[in-house]
Amino acid sequence: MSDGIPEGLIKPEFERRYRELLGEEYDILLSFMARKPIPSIRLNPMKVDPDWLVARLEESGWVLEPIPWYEYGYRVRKGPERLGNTEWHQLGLYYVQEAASMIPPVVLSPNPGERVLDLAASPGSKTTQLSEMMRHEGVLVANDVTPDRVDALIANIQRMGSINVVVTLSDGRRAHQFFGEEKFDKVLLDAPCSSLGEVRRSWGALARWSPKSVNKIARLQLSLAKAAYRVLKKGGVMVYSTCTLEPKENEWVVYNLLKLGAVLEEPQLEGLRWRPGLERWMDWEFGSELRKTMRIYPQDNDTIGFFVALLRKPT
Amino acid sequence: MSEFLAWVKQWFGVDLSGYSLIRSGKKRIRILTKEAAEFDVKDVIRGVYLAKKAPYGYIISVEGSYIIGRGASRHVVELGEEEFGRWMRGEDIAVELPEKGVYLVKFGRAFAGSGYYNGEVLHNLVPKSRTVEP
Ligand SMILES: C[S@@+](CC[C@H](N)C(=O)[O-])C[C@H]1O[C@@H](n2cnc3c(N)ncnc32)[C@H](O)[C@@H]1O
Repeated sequence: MSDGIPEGLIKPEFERRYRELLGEEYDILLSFMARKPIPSIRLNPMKVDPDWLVARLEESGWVLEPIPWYEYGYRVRKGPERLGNTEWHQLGLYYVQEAASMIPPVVLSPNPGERVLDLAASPGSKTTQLSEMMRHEGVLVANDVTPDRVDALIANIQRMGSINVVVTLSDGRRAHQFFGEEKFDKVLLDAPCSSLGEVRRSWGALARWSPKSVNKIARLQLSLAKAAYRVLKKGGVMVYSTCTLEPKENEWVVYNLLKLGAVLEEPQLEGLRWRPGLERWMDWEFGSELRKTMRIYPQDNDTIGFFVALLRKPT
Repeated sequence: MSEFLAWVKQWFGVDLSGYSLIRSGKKRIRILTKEAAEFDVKDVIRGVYLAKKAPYGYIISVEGSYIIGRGASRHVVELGEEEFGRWMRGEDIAVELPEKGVYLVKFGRAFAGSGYYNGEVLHNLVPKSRTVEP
C-alpha cells in the first residue's frame, strides 16, 4: 500500500490488473495518485492580452510555469488558495483547469469557422477552450444530458464570453437523431468515465472501481462514441478522451470504432510525455494501430491521468 | 433591439451590427455570432447575456463590458488598483465623471462590467455571483 491512500481502498482485483499493466511502475502510479494535483489555469486570450495578465499576476506574487502543450496554460506554483475567488477568475480572464484536461482540445485542434460538437460538455472546461481556439468564429455546439450540469456549463460559457456556442440538452447516444448525420467538421467526446485518472482529486473513483462498473460505463462510452462518429462529416476528425486508465473504457472503445471504418491518427504535441495505447489487454487483441492512441499516466507529466485518441472518418 | 443598438452607438460610439442580438425574457439581451445564431438546432440557450433594460439606459454585463469596451470612445471609466479591488468586491466607488449615466469599468487591459453614475458615486452593477468574496 502506498503512502497516503487509505488502507483498504484498493481492491485486490484493481491491484492485480494494474500490476499486470504497469509492472514495477505500479507503485509509482499509486504514489502519484496519492498526491494532490498541481493547480493550473488556462488564460482567456479572447478577453485579455495574456502577457498583460501574466505580468499582473506575477507582480502580485504569483509564480507561474507555462504548460508546454497549451500556449495559454500555466501551472500555479504559488498563488492564492482559492483560484476561483479572484478578480481575474470572476472576470473570466482565466479558467481553473487541470493541465492534462487541456490536451483533448489541443489534439482536436479546431479552426476558426468550423462546425464543432462537444458531445459531453459540462461543466465546459473544454467547451470554453475550444471556443477560444476557434477565436469565437464558426459554431461550437456544447451538449450534455444532465440538466443540473448544463447550468454549470451555461455559467462557464457566460463567464468566458464564448459567443459562438450553442448549448443543447440531449442524450448523446442519439446524437445522429438529434443533430442529423455527418453535420460536424470536428467532434470531441470527453466521455463520462470511471475517473481513475482523477484519483488525485478525490478517492471516490478508487472506492467505486469494480470490473462490473467499468464494463457498464464502457458500454455507455461505446454508444456515445458510435453516435459521435455518425455526426462527423466525411473527412472530419474526432477526439475520444477519458480521464481514466481502464483499457476497457479506452482502447476497447476505440478498437470498436475502428471496426466502423474510423482511422487513427497520431497526435502531434509538444512537451508532453505519453505512452502508446495497448495492443492487447486480457482477452482482447486490439492490434498495433492502437499504439497511436495516448495513455497519459499521472507520473509522466505530474498531471491527472488521461487517455486521448484522434480518429478520422475517411472521405 | 434597434433601440438598444442605437443607444450603444450613441452612448459608447460602438456599432454592434456585426453580431447577432436576441431577446431573452422581457428585459434581457443576449449576444452571439451570426453563424451561431443561424445554426439550425433545438437549443437550451445560445451566446452570452449582454445587457438588461434599466430606467437609466441598460445594465451591461461583464462580458458586454469587454465586447463594447474594446471599441468604446466614451463613457468608460478607468479605475486605479485599490478602487478596482473594492469594485470587484461589489462596492460603489466615489468618482467624478462628466455626466450621469452608464459607464463601463476598466482596469489596465481588463474590463469589469458596468456602473451607473448618479452624479456622486458609480453604483456597482456587477452581479454578486461575479464579485470576489472578501
Ligand atoms: C467527463 S465529463 C465532461 C467534462 C467536460 N468535457 C469538461 O471538460 O468540462 C462527462 C459528461 O458526460 C455527460 N454525460 C453522461 N452521459 C451522457 C449522455 N448519454 N449524453 C451526453 N452526455 C452525457 C455527463 O453529464 C458529464 O457532464
